[in-house]
Amino acid sequence: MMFFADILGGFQTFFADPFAIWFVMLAAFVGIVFGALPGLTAAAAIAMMLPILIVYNDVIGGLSGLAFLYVVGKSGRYGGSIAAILFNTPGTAASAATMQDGYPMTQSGRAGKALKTATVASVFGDYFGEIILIFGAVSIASFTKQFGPPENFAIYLMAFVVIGSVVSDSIIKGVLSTLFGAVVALIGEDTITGQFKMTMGIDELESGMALVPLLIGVFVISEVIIQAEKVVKMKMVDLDSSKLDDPTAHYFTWPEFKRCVPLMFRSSIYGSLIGMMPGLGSSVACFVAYGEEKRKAKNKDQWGTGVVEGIAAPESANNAVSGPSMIPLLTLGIPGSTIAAVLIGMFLVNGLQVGPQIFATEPPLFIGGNMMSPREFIFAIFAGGLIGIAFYGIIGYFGAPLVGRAIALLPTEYLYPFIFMISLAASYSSRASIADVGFAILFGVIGYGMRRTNFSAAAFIIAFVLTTSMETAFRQAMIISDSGLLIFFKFEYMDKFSYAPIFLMIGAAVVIFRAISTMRARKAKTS
Amino acid sequence: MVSDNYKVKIEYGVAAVIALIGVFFIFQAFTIKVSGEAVGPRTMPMAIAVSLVIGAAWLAIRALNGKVGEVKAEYGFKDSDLYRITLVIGCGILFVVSFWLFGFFTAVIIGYVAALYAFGVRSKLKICISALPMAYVLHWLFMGVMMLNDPRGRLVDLRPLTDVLIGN
Repeated sequence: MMFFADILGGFQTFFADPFAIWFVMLAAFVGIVFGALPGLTAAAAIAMMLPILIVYNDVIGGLSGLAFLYVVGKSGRYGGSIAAILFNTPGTAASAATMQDGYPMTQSGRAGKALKTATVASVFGDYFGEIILIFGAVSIASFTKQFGPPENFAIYLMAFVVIGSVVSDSIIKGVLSTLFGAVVALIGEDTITGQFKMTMGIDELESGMALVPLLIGVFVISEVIIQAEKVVKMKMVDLDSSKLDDPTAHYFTWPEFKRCVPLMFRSSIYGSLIGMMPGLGSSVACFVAYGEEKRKAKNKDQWGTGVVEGIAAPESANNAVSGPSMIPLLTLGIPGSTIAAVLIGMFLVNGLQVGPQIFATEPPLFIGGNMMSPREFIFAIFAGGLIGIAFYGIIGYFGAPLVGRAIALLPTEYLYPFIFMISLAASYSSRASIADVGFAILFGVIGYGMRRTNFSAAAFIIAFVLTTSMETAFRQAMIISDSGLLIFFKFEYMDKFSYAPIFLMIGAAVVIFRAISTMRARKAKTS
Repeated sequence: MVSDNYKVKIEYGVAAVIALIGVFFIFQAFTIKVSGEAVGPRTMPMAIAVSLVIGAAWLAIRALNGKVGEVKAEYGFKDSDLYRITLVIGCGILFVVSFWLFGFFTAVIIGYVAALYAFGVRSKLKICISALPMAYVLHWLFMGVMMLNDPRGRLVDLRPLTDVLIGN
């Protein structure tokens, strides 16, 4: 019953904020547009808007800013399906599987049905994931709040290893991406001694590398470089279905919906389970769901030629990732995705440390102009998420073809220079430093190189965000340890049970499992 | 589509770059003063930098054995348009330099014009029509609304003029 009281309280807090509802509505629209623009993702939108939200945090309130970012992540995932269906180009990696049946439907004049199926499935998956998040996070957090520095370090290490090993096609490249993010994060002032580390004599690096220029570099500028290479205009197939005999070509009909419900339910479970695992994101979920549902389907021969099930499965799975990907963040302080990593910064701006203590009911804090407990605040964000899903569902259901048409009309030769300038200005705005603009360009080139050589930008950013806390936890653990590094392998420290060895074993198990499955796949391919 | 041989070559290059980064950060880690604690500020940077070098060696050995994994579309730099990449990076550098020399407003105009050129826009009229409103909007948003510090240009200080534009 307490969950329901918390949720109701969350809605109450949310609606009491005059800006929150507008920002969630705006986020639903912005996310759809950015997601639908091929190449640009919700992470890119967030990178460009984060400095503005931070500057205006006290004016608009912390809740509006965080809810905005949270909902952009959700609607951005959905927006990718519009480009996948209409342009045969996935707007985001998460909608790559949607293309397989979405575009054939567009070619056969049933784009309206495809878009509406994607909308309904996305909303279904997102609500499913959100419910898992609300019930799961609170229960897990009550267990994880007893952890001390050894467990925290072991969790961070496990996250590094797990993210590194699953995020890319190659385990070694995933791990190297996290190590690179970690070493960049260690530049700047030492958290314990206060001395400057690895600043290379550059004054601007004394306070470390800022997140915004890094995000802009690896997600936006690298994409601008790729788009400059292409300079092609998106071509959209004519949406006119008036010549078709099928009167339902524009609609996702009730019988189709009923047929898809079990499939959407199963796909949402795949998505939620994958979402809970740090590093595994929507792009994995959509292919797992598509593959599994195609294998189970009676009409598997028709998959790939334009069936609604081929859209419903990946779309419900990739959106079901959204909520559960917040579980590691809220219960362990580990971001499961790039968007979750950025949210850490926004939580900190509001004086909140992510982790199990975020569900504390006391003491009340002054957050975004209001006195409230962290628990009330987090449930208000959940409420924002639930409302945001409804908003993007409505906008998408009625406006997706319009968004598609508008994007097809956009002159890319003006759009990307515009985005480039905004991103350079946003890099400057994070600390009012011209050097940060230079760093954004540098990381744009690095990001481009990473994309061309299968390294993971997401692992790089997540590691960058986590490393300082990981180093602090490590050194704190060593201070309390009377057996050196063995503290991480013992089941007891300071007369209490330690979960650290369990986390390390889980990390090792994931790597071994991943290595074995990669070797098996390679062997199967060669034979 | 690239060949396995090409991927091996690229992987060697990638391994070399990562090894260089690792060695660079090992040297940087040596510049950190050691404290009296068992685990000081140098431990973590050193461990990570050494791991980068080990990882690079692993990549190189993998390439040596020809185990570079599946060759996927858009892998490598064979399809890269070096001219356009240079143009975009050049636009960014031009923005930074002109920001430092002439201030934000002028930097946006110069950077945007250069970026339009990089994206193939050649109509002078369209460039002029789009660049000026763009500079105005960004200046208004970042310096006017967000009230960021608008540093004076080292060569020319246009702030009295641009401040009037945004009503300051």
